[in-house]
Amino acid sequence: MFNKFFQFLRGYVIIRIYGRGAERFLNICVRRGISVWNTLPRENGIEMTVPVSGFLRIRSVARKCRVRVEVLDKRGLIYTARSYRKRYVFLASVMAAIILCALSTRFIWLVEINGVENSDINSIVETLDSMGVKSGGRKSKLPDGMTMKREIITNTDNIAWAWVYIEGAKARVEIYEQIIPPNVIDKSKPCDIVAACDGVIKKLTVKNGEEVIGEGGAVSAGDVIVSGKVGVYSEEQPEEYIYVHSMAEAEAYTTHTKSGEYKLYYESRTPTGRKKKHVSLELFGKAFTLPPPTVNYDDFDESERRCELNIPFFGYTGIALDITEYDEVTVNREPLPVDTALEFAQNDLEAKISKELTPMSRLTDEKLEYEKTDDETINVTLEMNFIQNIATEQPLGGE
Amino acid sequence: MKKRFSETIADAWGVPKDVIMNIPRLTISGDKEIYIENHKGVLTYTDGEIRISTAMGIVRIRGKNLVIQRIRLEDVLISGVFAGVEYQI
Repeated sequence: MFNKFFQFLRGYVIIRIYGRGAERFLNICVRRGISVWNTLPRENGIEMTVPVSGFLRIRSVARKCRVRVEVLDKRGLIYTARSYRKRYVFLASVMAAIILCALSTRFIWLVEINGVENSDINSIVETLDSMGVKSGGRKSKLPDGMTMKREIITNTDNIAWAWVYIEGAKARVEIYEQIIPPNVIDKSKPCDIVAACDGVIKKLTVKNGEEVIGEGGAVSAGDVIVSGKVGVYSEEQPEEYIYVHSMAEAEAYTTHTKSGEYKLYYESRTPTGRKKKHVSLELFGKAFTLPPPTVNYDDFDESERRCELNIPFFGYTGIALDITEYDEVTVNREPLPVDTALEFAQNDLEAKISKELTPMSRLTDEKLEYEKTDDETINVTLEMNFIQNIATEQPLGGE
Repeated sequence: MKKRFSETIADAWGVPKDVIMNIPRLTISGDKEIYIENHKGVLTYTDGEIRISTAMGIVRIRGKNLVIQRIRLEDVLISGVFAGVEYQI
């Protein structure tokens, strides 16, 4: 492909050589350094392609070999440009399009923000707006990269690093958020120990604070197990309290239950090859949407893609196509045995329960039950019993 | 047959003969492509026969739809469906 492109740039001529000295002509061309390609044997001669620079040197070779040269075609940039030189309106339009594309890249038409999960995206957008990083903003008016980075980090919480990459008419903002450490209460501040979830306390080890619920006691989530408010008793003195930072480990029997509905069949979707497209044109930040097509397929998959017009050295020009494709599919249902459906359900429910557990939880027992809701659906319930540390610190509010 | 001096040197030193003696090297890929190095020019070119001149004589290629894909001073690449390759010394 590159070869053809460079051949087009250089320009080439397709010629046919007639006469008995056609082979000699070919040999002399090669010897004199004239590139020859696409040689094809023809009646009474040979057809070949030579570059424009070589074509100007073949006259003497043809005379020497006593052959006749017929020009079949001339191709390349030089010939194409020559054929268009009188079409002033066309040339003006091409020039105008190139100038428009070049000018459009002096502005920002698209702002893409990546890496935001927990931070306030509106705050980032406002900060970018105030600096001119917005649709229609001039690139020459933008502050330098370090200033933009500083502004984003200062104006938005939990941002560790940010950078604005200018790619043609697109501003790509990469955000790296801070990893927020777990909320650890300062050891000098008083707190209670409360239950993280429902359970029955198996073993309680109190290192600091006053025990409220002992071993064998049942607790609900949020119940105080060890209090940070400790009474101090002295003879003939009124009762006083001191507030301490409670510390304890509360091993408890806990039960976690999850349920869900699962299908007794597996769906496979096979494309039929029929598809419809919905195209919308984005021109310098404004979207022009064509009327959506009537999708009368029974089942279809929807996918979206974006084609941006980039030109070398300038990048994104502010012109893009957003294409939504609707692919018709045939849906085949294959029945699943109950065991397979239960296995899938168990994995799914175990994954959900695992999100509720505290570290170092030990599984003691689990029970899986199901009932058919209809011919194609089962309702599965998974009950898992653990021994886990349910002690969590909770600050003493305002005391 | 008397050996040429360059051939004696090539045999004595164990050097490939095409390097020292300028004899042609033919690389044939199946029955579709022949690559000839150290040629001296094309003598006949039709779609049924191509004759290439070399230092050790003429290499004749017979077949169907024969095409010289690329020709340079040192090498030539021929494609088509080959029926035979002969040396005419």
